[in-house]
Amino acid sequence: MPFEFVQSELDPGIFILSLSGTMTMGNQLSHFERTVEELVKKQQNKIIFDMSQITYLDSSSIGILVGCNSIIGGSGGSLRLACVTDRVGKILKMTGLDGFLPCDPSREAAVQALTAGH
Amino acid sequence: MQALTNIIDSRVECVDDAEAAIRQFAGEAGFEESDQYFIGLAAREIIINAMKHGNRFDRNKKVGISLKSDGVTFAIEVNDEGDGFKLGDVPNPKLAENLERRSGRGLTMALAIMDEFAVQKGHPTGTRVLLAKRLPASGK
Repeated sequence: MPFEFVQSELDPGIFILSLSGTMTMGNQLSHFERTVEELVKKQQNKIIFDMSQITYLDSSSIGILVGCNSIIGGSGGSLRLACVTDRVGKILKMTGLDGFLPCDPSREAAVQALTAGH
Repeated sequence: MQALTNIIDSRVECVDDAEAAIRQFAGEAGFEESDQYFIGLAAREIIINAMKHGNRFDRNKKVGISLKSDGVTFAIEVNDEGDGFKLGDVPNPKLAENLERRSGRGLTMALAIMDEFAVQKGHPTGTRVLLAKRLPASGK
């Protein structure tokens, strides 16, 4: 299943990108990162990536997630990963990113965290 | 003993098929679906490294992939035509100062997934990376 994402405003000032499919090198990753950059340019920098439909993640994709985290964080905003599956969570753990990229069990928990300023 | 050898171009588009073949071979060797998934991921990372860092995506250079299973261990060998590398020279992406780096996590993933990992000089040139994982029935 190819990588796709859908962008929407979940709560006022909180944006969500719902990701799905196989997230691998050369697979729309640049387009995805540009979309995040565009949001940040407009100061729409409280962002959630809903990871529930991501079935696969390689190291290139992890690099994109890390890059997005830096872009968003550098603008004074915050990124939260919501609904990370067990397998993707395991991949984040084996690369030491499970504590570095903030993860929440649900969209609601991610919204709460962003609303509280995390 | 089961064995399979494949030679592919140094193009990202070739990785999906190579990974699918490795997953299938791992399944036939006796790994359950979850292990097939992670073995495929480990192999993918090493194959991409061979294409990118070894062969520098030179379409005249190939990546050789050999799979073997003897009923106890499942082994993957990935050969490229590059200059080689030393594991010790690769920055540890898990260190705090490296967490924001965009690259360099493929080896860490392969090391975490597989039971054995070795880098050798290829013959006559290039680099050979050996990955191995014990089959579940052999007392993992």
